[in-house]
Amino acid sequence: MSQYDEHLGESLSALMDGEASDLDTRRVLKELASEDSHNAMQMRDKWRRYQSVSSVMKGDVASTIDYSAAIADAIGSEAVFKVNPLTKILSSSGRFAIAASVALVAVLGVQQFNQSANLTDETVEFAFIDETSVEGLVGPANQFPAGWALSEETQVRTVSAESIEKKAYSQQEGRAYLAYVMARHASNAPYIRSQGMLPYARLEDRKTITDQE
Amino acid sequence: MTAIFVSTSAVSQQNKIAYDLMDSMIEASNSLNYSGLVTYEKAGRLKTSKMLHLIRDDMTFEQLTHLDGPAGQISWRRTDGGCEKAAAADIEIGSRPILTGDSFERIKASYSFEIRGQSRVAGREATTIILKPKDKFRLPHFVAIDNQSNLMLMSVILSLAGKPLERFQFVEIEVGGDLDSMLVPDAQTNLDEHCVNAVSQAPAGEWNVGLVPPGFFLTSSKKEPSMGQSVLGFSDGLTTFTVFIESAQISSKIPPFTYTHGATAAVSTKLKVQGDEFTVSVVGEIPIDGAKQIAQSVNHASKILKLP
Repeated sequence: MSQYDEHLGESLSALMDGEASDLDTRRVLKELASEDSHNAMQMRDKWRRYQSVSSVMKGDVASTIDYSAAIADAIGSEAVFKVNPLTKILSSSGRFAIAASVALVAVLGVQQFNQSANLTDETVEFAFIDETSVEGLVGPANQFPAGWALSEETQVRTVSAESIEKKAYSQQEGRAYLAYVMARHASNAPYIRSQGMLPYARLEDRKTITDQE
Repeated sequence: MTAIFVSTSAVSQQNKIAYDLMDSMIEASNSLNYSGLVTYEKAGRLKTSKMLHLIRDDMTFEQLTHLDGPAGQISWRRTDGGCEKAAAADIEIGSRPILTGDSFERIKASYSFEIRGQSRVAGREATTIILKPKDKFRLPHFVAIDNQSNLMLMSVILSLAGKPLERFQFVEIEVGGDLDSMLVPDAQTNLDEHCVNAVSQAPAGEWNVGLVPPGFFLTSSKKEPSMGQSVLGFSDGLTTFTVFIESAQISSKIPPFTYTHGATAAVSTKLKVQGDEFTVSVVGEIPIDGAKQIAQSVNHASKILKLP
């Protein structure tokens, strides 16, 4: 074992015990970063062994299964979240996507220029980290934009005495429709004199909507 | 007793000052040329834009150039009174008359005004005013008005609990000067034309919004025959909401929902008329509960006719 390996072993041990110095931590992390190296594999094995021994000594149940590779694989295979959520919403339903573009372009004549093809609007993605209605969220969280909640009363108000039928609602259509009505509302608002440009400022998702053309 | 009298008098005096200030603000925005950098903040994010506002005779030109995110620009021009006159002449829904005239009178009827004090916005001294709604169908507004030009430098919409929901604010503004003589750029949109189109497509009272909160009036009414859709816009001069009624065919796929984002609430409900299910949606800068009540008040004209 080289002196370096020896130091590495000591650093790992110190890290385990919560006594690692900055140098120890850096040394371990640097080695782990080169993930295919012999040392890195050895260190991971050693880490697991140390953890197992420590768990047994503390009386905890030690797992012998190494999840790290599976987790790394799972993370690696996940699609990178680059697409603007609203773009996805709109592209999921052609009818409202087109209608939303038409509403904005016809009423406002939104002009885009010098548009770089790969420019994503991260500020819009951030917009979906909203603070409202989270407690009212129904259904899997990752299928809704934040702030979106399906009404609890899914029953239909009846004017005639027809029976209420269960409908095959589509979440995709629903989200596309939501984006459409929000855009259409904002484009209707400028008729109000005292508001001036305020409603236009509200049209934050303008690019996302117009790039469906 | 004297103390109460003095206090009441002070309040009414303050109200008057606030009214006058708001009136001056509307007058200033209709008569002054200005340009500046504005920020718009909502739900934890901020956008910056450059704004240009020009007045020439009875024409208003406005341009908004986005300074962050994707590059883009919005501009429009409008002739004074064009839309209001057209709307007054033609739009009618049910028995509800279309109210026109000074939108400020409407704002005064729907909100109480209170001067909050002096502040500094965009490097200028400003007076802040809070507009408190008189009912549950509106949200409070907090505005800052420039002491020198009377232009609105900041506008914040608050929740009923007083939490800021969205903020529009100048960070730098230039008034008059070279802007008074500069050539007006071409606008992408002429709002007067769209206004006329909107009026000619007004539906003949097929749908009725049973609950239009006091002070709100119909500003636009459109029917899209290809989609079987009716769109009705309402405003009280400050706040707007839009009512959408979708055809049975489109409604079959849209789930009912509620959604809030910044100051904007959206509610979608279902309405069954003679076996067909329609979607009624209300979107606006109004409290979500108010939006729900408005959505649930929409009915087809056929039902109203049956009433005694």
